[in-house]
Amino acid sequence: VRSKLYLGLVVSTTLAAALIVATLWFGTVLQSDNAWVRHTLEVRKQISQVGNLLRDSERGQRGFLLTGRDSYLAPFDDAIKALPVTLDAMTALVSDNPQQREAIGRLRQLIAARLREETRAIDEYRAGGAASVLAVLEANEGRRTMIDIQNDLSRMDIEENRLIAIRESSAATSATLTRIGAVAAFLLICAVGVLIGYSTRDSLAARTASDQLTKHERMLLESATRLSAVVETAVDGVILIDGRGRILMFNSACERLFQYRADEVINENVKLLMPSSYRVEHDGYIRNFLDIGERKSGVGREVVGQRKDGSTFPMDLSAGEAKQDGEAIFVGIIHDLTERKRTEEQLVQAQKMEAVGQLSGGIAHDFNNLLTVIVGNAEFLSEKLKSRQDLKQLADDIGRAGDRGGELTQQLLAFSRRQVLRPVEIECNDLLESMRKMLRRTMREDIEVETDFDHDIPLAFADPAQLESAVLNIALNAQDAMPSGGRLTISTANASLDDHYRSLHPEVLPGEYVLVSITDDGQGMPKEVIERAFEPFFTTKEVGKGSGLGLSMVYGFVKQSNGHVSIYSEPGLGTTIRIYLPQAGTKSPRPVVQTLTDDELPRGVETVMVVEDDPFVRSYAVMRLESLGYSVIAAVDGADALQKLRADLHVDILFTDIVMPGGINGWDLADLARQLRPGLPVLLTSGYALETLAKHGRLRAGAVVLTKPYRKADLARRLREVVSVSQLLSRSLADAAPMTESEKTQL
Amino acid sequence: MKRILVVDDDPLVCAAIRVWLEQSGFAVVVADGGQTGLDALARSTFDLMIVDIFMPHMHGFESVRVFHQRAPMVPLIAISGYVFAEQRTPAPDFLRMALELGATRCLRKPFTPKTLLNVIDMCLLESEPPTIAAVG
Repeated sequence: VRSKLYLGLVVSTTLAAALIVATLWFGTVLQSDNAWVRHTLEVRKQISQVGNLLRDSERGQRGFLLTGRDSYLAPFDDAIKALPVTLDAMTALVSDNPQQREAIGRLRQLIAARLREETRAIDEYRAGGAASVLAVLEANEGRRTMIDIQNDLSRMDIEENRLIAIRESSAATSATLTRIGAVAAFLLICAVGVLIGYSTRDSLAARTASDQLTKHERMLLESATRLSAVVETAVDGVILIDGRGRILMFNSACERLFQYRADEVINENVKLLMPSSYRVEHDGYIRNFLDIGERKSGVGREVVGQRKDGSTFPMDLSAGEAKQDGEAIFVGIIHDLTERKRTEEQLVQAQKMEAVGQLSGGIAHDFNNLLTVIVGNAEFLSEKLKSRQDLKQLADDIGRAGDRGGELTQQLLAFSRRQVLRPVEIECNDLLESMRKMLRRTMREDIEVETDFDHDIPLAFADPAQLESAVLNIALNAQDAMPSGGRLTISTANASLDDHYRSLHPEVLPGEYVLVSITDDGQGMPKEVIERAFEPFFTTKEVGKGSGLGLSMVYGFVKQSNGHVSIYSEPGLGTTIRIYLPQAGTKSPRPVVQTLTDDELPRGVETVMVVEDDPFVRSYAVMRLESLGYSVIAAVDGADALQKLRADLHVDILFTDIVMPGGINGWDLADLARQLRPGLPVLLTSGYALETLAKHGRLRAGAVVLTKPYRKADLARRLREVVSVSQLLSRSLADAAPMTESEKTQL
Repeated sequence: MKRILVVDDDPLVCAAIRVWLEQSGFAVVVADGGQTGLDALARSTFDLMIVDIFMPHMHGFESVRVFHQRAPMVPLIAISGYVFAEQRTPAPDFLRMALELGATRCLRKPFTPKTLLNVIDMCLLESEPPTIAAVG
């Protein structure tokens, strides 16, 4: 018995070590698997690009042969220039694969031949006109070469697909190895348990508590604990079921994946973890396994798991069979595929948007030509038809319809990222603050517009007019999503997009961005809508209510600005659209700085007390004052300000809002403050128009009032103004000059 | 009568512009391509040229350069329906680029006859010799 125990110990420890190694190795394989998927999709993208370019060249050549116009050759010329670049890129990508490299070599020759044929036809046409070209075309060589090329391209595509399958199956092999390890470990745990049982019984029967045996027991128990620890800490889910499908074991990775606690599922049927469509299939699966011994389980299968909350996720399941006390038990290793699926979907979506963008860009140009004729001739006719008002009306209608077509075309160009952008350094907070006021005026009254700014954000580099129109578009969508009112929040923040984020959104460059988020608490969007929300002409609004280009423009603008845009939405709760704009100075190819730099503004070193009830405006003012060199003390209302003044804090300038709650308005505060601190310079500020204030007798002569919204430059100048006025006055007081009535009013 | 050369590869655009301009008292010659335009320019003289930047990408600007070189004293209005922005880069402004290559004014399609006539008037005014000074 003792020697058996030793053997068990040795074997179990060795296996535990092997299992750890296998699990770790399996994890690395799966990681590289994700990178591989991306690589393969990139190659496939290049393959389809070659196809597109060839079609472009053919289209250009045909256009020329049909019309004899050089202008049609543009896509042909472009394709000739772009093809070698694309082929080089492809060669670089597949440099690790001799077979694909050879295929590209062949492809190059075929493409060169094809382009020679196309060029020859063009030359023929130039030399002998349309008739001589017919001979070349009728030989139909071109068609054959083109078919060869297309066959080659699809072969390469298939090869890439095969490669991805190989890599996946290698991952599956490592999964199998881990599985074998896991199964062995389980059997071992069982065996060790049995051994312990026997030995304990033997020892009890033979003699009372022997020290030796107790030691062995402890070692065995430790060994068993070690093994289950390995299973428990495995990155992948490990699940054990019996022949009837009852769950015997559920490790903590499974708990994370399925969101069930182990004690909730132990002894439950494993069908609990499958969506209903899979359950029937599963019944047959286990029966097959038992009756015929058909082992489908050798390779990992891609299946769908169902979490406790009913949501589903893609997973890779490798299953293995073992015997315990003559009964079949099954071990399943589960790897979560959510992230990889997402990567694939994102790439496909990005490529689709790219293709649609190129298409729309091309259409937009043709539309502009057509619209020139339509709009122009309509206007011309309208001029000529002054004596026939009825007909003039018709011509004007044509013109207006054309104008609307023109607007749509502009939006298409925005989506296809071919609009002219004038990027400058933008203070997003300033821009959005002024937008907030505009939005409050333009949005329905039951929509609250709020802002939440991070005041430490750097300058963004983008076209401010386009950013405004993007935010407006999103806000109008949000308004429609809140039919019975709600809250729209615009916020800014620093955002750092890292490699993890890139793994979810492969087209994004990692780096530092300025984040502008627009959040509503409206209806939210289901997943199917989010996926298509940026596509041109996709709209959930009634026909005629929207062009379906709003978010497409946002997408186009942000992408063209080297930024990124994402949608987060919860049906019933609301939607957040995040716009990531590049920071100024980081990757700005042609920075055009138009903002007045801080250096040019008058600065100060005094201590300013800011009194403002609106927390947002207050922190905004504090930030600006500090950036101008001032020290700042903030007060939330008149009473707070007076308390702080009485507390003997050092204050050089009082900067107060005029309209404040709490009984003490800005004028009162100014008077009271001057009683405490004679000669204290005061700068007043108000969001109300000056005329209104004057009408109510509130605008006093000589007072310096800064109207909101104010620019930083205004604030800087006005502060120096009040300081110099008060210095002037205190000097005249020191000179003991008698003060005139008008000078008193100035105070 | 002022003579204007219109170069645009779209015959509909040519025809429309021709009608608008003739109605306003200009003599108009249209050309549907770069070469035909240059031929017309070689045969006779013009007071103004309207040239479409009809090709995508940078070499489309070649037409502006060539026409300007052939007749440097004749004001040139560049027109285009293309937007010369490459993807993912902040775009160089096509207007500015055409101006650098010798265009006097630029117009983005679609434009109306009124706009075109205004621009033509401005170009002609600027290109006229300062007659008042000579009289004075």
